[in-house]
Amino acid sequence: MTGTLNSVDARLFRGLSLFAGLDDKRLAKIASQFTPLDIPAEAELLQEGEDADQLYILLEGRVSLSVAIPGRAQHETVVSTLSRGQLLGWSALLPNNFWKASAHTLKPCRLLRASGKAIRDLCERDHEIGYCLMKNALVTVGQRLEDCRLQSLNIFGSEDG
Amino acid sequence: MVDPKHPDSKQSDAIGQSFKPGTRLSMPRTGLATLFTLLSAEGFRLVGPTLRNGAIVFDDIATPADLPVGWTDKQSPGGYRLEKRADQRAFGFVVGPHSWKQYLFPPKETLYQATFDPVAQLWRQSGNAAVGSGNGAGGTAFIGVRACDLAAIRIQDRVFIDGKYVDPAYDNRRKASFIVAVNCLEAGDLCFCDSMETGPEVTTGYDICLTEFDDTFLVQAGSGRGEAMVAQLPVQPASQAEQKDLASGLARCRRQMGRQLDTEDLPGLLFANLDHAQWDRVAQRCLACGNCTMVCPTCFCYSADEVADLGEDPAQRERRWDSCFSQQHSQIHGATFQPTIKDRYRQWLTHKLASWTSQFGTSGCVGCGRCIAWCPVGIDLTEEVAAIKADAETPVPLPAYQPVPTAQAAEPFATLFATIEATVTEVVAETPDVVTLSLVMPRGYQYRPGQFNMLSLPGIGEVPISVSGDRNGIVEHTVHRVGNVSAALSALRPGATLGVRGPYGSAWPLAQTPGRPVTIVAGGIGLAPLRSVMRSLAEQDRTTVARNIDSQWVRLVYGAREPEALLFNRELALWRQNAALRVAVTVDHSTADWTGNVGTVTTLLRRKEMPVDGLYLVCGPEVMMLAVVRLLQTAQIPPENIYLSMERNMKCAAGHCGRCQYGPYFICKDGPVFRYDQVAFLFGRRGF
Repeated sequence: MTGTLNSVDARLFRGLSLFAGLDDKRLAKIASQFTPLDIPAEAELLQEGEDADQLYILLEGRVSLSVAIPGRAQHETVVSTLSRGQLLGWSALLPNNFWKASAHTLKPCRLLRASGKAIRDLCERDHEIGYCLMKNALVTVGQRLEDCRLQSLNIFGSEDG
Repeated sequence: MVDPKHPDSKQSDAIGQSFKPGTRLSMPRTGLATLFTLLSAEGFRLVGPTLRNGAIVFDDIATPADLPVGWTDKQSPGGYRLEKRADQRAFGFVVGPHSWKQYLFPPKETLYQATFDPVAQLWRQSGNAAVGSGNGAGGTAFIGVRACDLAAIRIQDRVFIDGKYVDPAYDNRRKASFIVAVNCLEAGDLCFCDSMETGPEVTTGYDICLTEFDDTFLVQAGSGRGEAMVAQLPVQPASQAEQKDLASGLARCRRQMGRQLDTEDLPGLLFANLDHAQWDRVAQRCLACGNCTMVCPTCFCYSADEVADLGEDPAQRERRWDSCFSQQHSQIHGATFQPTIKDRYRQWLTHKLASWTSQFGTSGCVGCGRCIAWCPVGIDLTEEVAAIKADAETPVPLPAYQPVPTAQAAEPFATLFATIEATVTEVVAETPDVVTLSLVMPRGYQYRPGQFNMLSLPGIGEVPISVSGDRNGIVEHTVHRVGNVSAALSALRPGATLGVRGPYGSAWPLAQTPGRPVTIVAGGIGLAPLRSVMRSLAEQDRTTVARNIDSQWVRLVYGAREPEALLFNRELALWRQNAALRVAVTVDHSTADWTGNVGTVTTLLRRKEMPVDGLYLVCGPEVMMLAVVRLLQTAQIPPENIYLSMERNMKCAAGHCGRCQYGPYFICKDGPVFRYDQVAFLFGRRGF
């Protein structure tokens, strides 16, 4: 674990909304938990129902989130797609959690990955980090909920004009 | 000249004398019969007050004996009773349930007929000749028009003939009318014309003005026609006593006004208090029956519908009085924008007393009190306004009235409802329920992206459709099949003809696009009115923007329900290849083979850069536009950099029918494209 970030990493982490508001020292602490990862297109990243043990941030590419509906066709239903800068696998921020959807890469992806437990431990040890991270994650989860509502309203239906 | 029915009314010595125009003259009561005879002789149909069913109503009259001689009316909220007068005055009452609008703007009128052309084997829309043209050659003489009702006629003139479009039927009837006005020397308990500055004195807009006394009438000509008529009446110069009686009578009438309305800052005040508790209180009493709008002499909303005949008569387009209290008034294929009684009452009152000033430069209320008397539960608008004023937020500014420029007034105005026949050259199925019709338009047809045309099929109906593009004189319209007219349009094949009128409405601000990043957000069919903008930017920017791509990009964020509902796929692919354009497409519901984005346009937009100096053009379902605007506001985008295209129930497309009102605006005329700061005080507000 290093105490400082090189300038490339600093710029990268500063640009990610999950880390907004953290001071340099704390940012370095959390950054050190993440390792980069390249995944080709059409790979399964997360499987619905499995233990949520890893936290991801998507740096490049596109990832689909899908849900299997028992009894429906062969394919899973894609409910959302994520792209650059997005938090992926926020369930890992909570203990004893599991994936609520499967994740597949739609394009070659570059990600950052960290152990969910390591991040949770860091948050517990330093509540300043914990509060910042949870607040930023809540913004993302809130936006997804908001967008999901709009998505579920069938706004393009002829009844709604 | 001797009236055959009234042989006593011989010519007096005064006849043939010439008086200074506008002079008040004295006429014996018998002169009224002479006036009626003269008007009839000139071919005028006489319409005036008469007694029927316990009320003083307007109907055809022949002699002064048909007038309600010796009767008066007593009015109260929800109350109207006739009473005998102590004298024999013929105009000794105020106003009844009728107003003159029923003659100038009839409750029901045929606009067009569908006629079958056996040679072409086509149904065609009959020409403008089919539109009603006045009441006979001689026109109609309105007898006993009060100052408030004259003001009401002037207000309807502004609606129907003073704007860019002229309603030919109204115009004909108006030109063919002869107005015999009457000064009010007594006010009723519901009168407040003094507050509205419309009466009680008749000051303008009449041919002849009468003031009734026990033994004589004062007569004053207000036009050349009136002067010619007065010259044939048994008149003599008015006495000093008569002049004095008029002045004191008018002053007494002003003091007698049973109601008053404080009009200071009223438009801004009502719009500043749209959430006032009084709207809920009045909604508990209001039955949404629409009586107030029917008896109101200025209410002008109408619907226009195709009426089919099961027999051999051709189908016709009929217009009927509508009311903002009816459910269909604010309804478009399934959506009702004013679902509750509170919404509708608020719409009525804010329109009457506030929006009207932005739309027509005058209040819509003349202070006649009819809406109070004929409300079955006695709602009194003066009380409602007072209750709001008693506990009100500070007035907000409303858009200023924009009169038609005088330069334009010299040119002939467009005739409302005049359509041209256009031929379909191509029909492209964009999605299972959307087609693009290519129409050959007459040479010289021009539109600006964002505007719309009214497309019609004889016997089926007419709908507003935005223009989605043009190439070499072929104009494209992209139609979403949502109702019977759009379904019939969607079923057209090349070679078919249809009626077109337009273009109408405001356009996207293309002039503001150069030199800045442009973000276009479209949802569903909302891409249609933006396609021309994309095309124009795609072409214009290829040379200039490509060099400056970091600051002058054009981004399209387009969302649809599902992959197969995406419009213009071929063009989307072309735009993707254009270096100056950034195209992002998303769907709400994915399919197995879809590898693109899934989510709403806001999901995508949130991940993109949103420069504060950028231009944002948004069109889609209102709930989508609301979400986009909220997101743009969070990103600190100034409201004047955001443009929206709105949709409401458009029937006439010229601001005449009142159906597409949006607060002080008509969507058809002031919109559909609005700069967000114009509508920010209403956008997203329930009930508008």
